Amino acid sequence: MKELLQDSPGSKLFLLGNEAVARGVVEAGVSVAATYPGTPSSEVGDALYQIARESGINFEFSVNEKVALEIAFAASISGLRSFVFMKHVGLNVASDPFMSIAYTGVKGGMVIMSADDPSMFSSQNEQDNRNFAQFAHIPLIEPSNPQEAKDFLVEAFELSENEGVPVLFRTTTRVSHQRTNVELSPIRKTKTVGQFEHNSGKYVSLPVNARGLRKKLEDKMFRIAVSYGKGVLNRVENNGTPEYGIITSGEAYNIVSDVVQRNGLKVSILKLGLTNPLPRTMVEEFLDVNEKIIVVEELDPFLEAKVRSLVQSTERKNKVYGKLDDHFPSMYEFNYEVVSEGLDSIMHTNIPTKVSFELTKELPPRPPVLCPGCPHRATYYAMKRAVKMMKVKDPIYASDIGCYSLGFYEPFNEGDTMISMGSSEGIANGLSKAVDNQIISFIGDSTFFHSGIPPLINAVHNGAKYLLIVMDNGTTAMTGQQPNPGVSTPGVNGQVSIESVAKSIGVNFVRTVDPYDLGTTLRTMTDALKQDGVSVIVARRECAILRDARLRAQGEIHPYAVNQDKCSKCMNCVENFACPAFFISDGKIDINPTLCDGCGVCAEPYVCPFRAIEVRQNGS
Amino acid sequence: MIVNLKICGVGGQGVITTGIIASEAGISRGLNVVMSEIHGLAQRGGAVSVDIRFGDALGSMIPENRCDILVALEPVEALRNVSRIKEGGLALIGAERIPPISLGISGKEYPDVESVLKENYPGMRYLMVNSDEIAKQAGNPRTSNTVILGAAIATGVLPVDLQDVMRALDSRFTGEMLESNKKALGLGAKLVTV
Repeated sequence: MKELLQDSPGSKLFLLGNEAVARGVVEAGVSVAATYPGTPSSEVGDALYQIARESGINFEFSVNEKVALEIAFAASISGLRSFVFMKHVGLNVASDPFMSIAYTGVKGGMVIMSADDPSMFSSQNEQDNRNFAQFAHIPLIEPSNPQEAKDFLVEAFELSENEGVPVLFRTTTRVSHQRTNVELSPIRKTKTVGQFEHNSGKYVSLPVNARGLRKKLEDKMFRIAVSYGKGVLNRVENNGTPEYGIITSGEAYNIVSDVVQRNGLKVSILKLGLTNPLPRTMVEEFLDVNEKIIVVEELDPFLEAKVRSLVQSTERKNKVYGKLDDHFPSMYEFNYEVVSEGLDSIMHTNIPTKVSFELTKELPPRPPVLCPGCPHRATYYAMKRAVKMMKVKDPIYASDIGCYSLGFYEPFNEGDTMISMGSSEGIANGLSKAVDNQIISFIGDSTFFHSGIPPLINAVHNGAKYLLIVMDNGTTAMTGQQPNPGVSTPGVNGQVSIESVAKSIGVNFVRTVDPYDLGTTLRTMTDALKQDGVSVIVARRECAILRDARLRAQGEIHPYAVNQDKCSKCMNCVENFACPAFFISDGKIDINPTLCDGCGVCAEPYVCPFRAIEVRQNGS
Repeated sequence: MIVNLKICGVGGQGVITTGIIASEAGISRGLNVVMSEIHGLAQRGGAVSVDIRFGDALGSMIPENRCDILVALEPVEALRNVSRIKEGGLALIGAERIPPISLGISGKEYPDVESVLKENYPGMRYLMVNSDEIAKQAGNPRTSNTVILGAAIATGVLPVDLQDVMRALDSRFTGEMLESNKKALGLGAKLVTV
């Protein structure tokens, strides 16, 4: 990632959208950056983490998005440029300060990036966060590709600083995770120390101040709407003698362009980078020369609603097509076929429709699974067994967000609820009021720090009863192994103890187990199930991906194999432990030595009572 | 002119790395390349694929039935993506199976990939590559993705040649990894004669 720091304007790098964003941070001279990792935004943090020290950017993985946003705000009102980024649902967490800093305004440029996830590749919903810009009354910028991700970000900082308003920068999965060549621009020097001015109430949103700030915000937004036209962010492209005008933004623009080029469609395209406020003057000019307007955008009819209102409120005669009249869907990401069909339904240009093939054979699904050696597998296995041993009738499993959400799948089925960060515990608090069942919550270490502590305080204070398993693998694993407060980096990060937090809150039963030690884990779980009130087990074992990298470097991975003479084919390992390294061939169970990472948990008698799983001998 | 390459496999097989190498080969030749990848939720063991478009495309996803060549690092993943291939397109398939754990749980058999291909896409051109075996010959079992990439390059369908890929390998690997990958690329290329 060091190449992101090269000061060689004009040269090109082949970058992922999110890496281009990190380069944009460098080019914009950002001083302070903060995030809580979340796909599809995570690689921005990975890149900044690697280049922070050398670049002079003060970057941190914060405990959650709200804290990250407040950190960036504080830097901004101290006169420094600041950047905070997160996945779309992260902005829900940060929305409290987000809504109010629109009023107070900012001093050093401040940009908030939301990486949205149309089609929900790795998310619980596909909320269109462009609405947040409208909700908060702040400017919104949408790039379409890695080059724009970088260039528009720099532009976003200019806009923010010039107008004294925070700017929302919205990417989607296909922009954040698209890789192309990106041409570099000069790097602006980073200021390292800010200057805080005591500003008689500007940053104190007491009602008396907020009322005045509200008016100022509207004035800023009006000024932006009428003055930001053609330039870096917005442009008009003409193809032939246009019969239709298309207004589009983000990834939708890329697909529209491909469909238009391939089929020689005669259209004029207004590509908007600034989508809130609508650059009014420019859009009005476009409406004046194009009578028939098609709005193509992913998810909500955000631009379409604005364009339709503008047509109506200015008493224009344009005909507008889009989602609200059912030419395009309002859900899931767009692709070439969706855009072709939509345009064809309006323009009747006979764009060739797709030819679909269907396989006659149903394929075995390959859903995401816990990795070989993943400590969560052992924890889920032990929990299920403990519940059985204690004859717990119909337990309810409240799960949370992380790799361990996969405990929902067969064969564990240990996920009855999973809605938002920390909800395993909030829901456990509620279930404990609503039903008599035993409630078992699962939360990861990073998620516990992010939003698992207030509900634990609530449980002690309001007398909820549940068993909380903190699955501590020492990293924020699912987003790519970022550090969290439970991890110490000597000289850089302090370490916070989950056990101390739980004890200090007043939880009486707090135990720590190593999930690879199934016997102790099982006994501790059965003990915990006998407790009244809230009890906590910290199941601590390093993430298998980190472990593998460490052991592989030392040549210390010793895979296991099934001794066929001892195997009774009881299938317990495959059916109930379900490590993906197991496979069945010619009716025999065996272990794929390249997948097996030698954790050895399956060799324990709790998984293989016949002790048929042994360290693989060379050549066996 | 746009040439579309799709690479698929199982998380952990090197699908994204293979995609970056193929793309950088195109870049080093001065081509415009757009690659699309999906991260998250499939670090190990899930289905993974990347789309790579050489030429003047803006959209990063390959339209349906426009894939010129499919590189599948695993047989069932080849079937999962084969409908993307255009008429007259090609598939290069790593023969080594990684049976999904869902098969173990359901007790179902791993499908006979070649007969499914023949039944559904009669006349489709594909090559099963014993890439794991060849990777071992190259000196590193973790280079089987490069073996299949080598075969794909040798078909001549992509607008890049072996030298371009060698340059991309040079900029990504060093030492033993570089040597074994170069060897794997060459051995893979020998499997295809045009």
